[in-house]
Amino acid sequence: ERDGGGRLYPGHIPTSPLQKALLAAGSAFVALADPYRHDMVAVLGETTGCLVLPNLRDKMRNDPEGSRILQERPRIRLSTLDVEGLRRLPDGTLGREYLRFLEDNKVSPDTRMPAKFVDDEELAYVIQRYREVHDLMHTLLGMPTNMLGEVVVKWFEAIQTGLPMCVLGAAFGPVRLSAR
Amino acid sequence: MAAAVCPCRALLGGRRGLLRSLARSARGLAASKETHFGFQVVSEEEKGEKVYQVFENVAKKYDIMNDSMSLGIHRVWKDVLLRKMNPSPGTLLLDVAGGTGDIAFRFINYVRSVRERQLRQKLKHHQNLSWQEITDSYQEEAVKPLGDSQVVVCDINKEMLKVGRQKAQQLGYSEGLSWVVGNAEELPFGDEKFDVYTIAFGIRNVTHIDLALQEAYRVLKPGGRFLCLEFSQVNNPLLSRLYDLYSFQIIPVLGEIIAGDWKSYQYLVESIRRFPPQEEFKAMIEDAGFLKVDYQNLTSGIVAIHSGFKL
Repeated sequence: ERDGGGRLYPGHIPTSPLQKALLAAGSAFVALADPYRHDMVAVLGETTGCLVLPNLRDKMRNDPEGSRILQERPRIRLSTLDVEGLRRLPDGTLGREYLRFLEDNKVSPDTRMPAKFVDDEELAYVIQRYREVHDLMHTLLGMPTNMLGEVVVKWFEAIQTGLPMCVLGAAFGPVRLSAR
Repeated sequence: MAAAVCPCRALLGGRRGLLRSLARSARGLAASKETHFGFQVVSEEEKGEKVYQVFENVAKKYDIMNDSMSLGIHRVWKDVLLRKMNPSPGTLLLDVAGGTGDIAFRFINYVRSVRERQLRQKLKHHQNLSWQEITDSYQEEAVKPLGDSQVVVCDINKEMLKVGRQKAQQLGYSEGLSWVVGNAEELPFGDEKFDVYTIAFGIRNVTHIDLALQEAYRVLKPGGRFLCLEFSQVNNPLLSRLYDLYSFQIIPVLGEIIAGDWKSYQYLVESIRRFPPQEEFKAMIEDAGFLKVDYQNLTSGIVAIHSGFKL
């Protein structure tokens, strides 16, 4: 269902191919120049992911748990997490370590940018899901949120998902690392 | 005037507009008349709020976005406005929607240089000056560099004024400058106070342009001048197409990349198209009581300067 203006989901901004190309180029440049512009990394992912996102969605469809996620569309948010329940879990469990990661690095799953430039509302959910499990990847890999940690997670995600933004981030991110 | 506009607004509101106008007449003169926010249709209260949010969001990146979008040409447009104004020292300027201070700073620079030239001319023409007279004239220059000229920057948006004040501090402007929060439709000033009223790239964001023009007339002294610098209609068909392409394809992308805000810049390019063309705006200015109203197109009509006098 579209509302006036061709919007497929709340927050959707329809864009022409020219605009997507300009956004991809511009966001790549700014993301590298200023790594604190997380919104630019998000835009890069959305504008370059059009070929890969359908593959991810199909992989999810072909898996029982994946297709259930596509149907129920769970969101990882502080309001949906049982924080105290997670705290009571034993050390070494994914839940306990995830909470520890959030608290140690002072991050929250609520700060993930919503999708804007993906022109399909199911694929918009897929990329949203990718963003929301990003912190779980950090937890699994034991990587902090500094530049080095982020690049390692990007390598992992590049291999896992094949998203061009992850590949670019993995390849060019190290440019910003100082030789220590 | 409001009664004549109402049915037109109902028609412009589209298929829902007719139902809305019926509901409205049933409710009597309710407060929510409709207007445009870019290409969207919104109530008049909503427009004010949405415009406020746009400028609150863009305030910090306002100047850098102006430079990027216009490739620096907005500076030339503003310089032309000041040249046209040609203020002499002692002028009292009210700059409405003056936000980040571009017009105000240019005004101060202009009167300062006119003042310096005046003092220099005076010195040149006095051939046999005593040392005392020379010292006195230097004193005059030091004590009154602006010659009593003053500019009041008025804006409805506190964030924009904040950026403006910070800029003033950084650039070293302090004298002859004041910052006031105010609504162009209801200015917080008495009648007949100012020599010149300017509004640069602000009037198209005002919900009731006619009220802003009436207020401009009210606060100007007799003999005062109204000057408006605003985006207008391009007269050249080829350039118009290129301009539209640039506006709708490139500018929101720049907004997203530089300011992280697509929607505000989408509003900006849409609001330009909603603003009345040169002749129509001229008529509106005349309706407010101004005389000798005229306009000057800049860059083939991308921008126009409208001028009128209170006589």
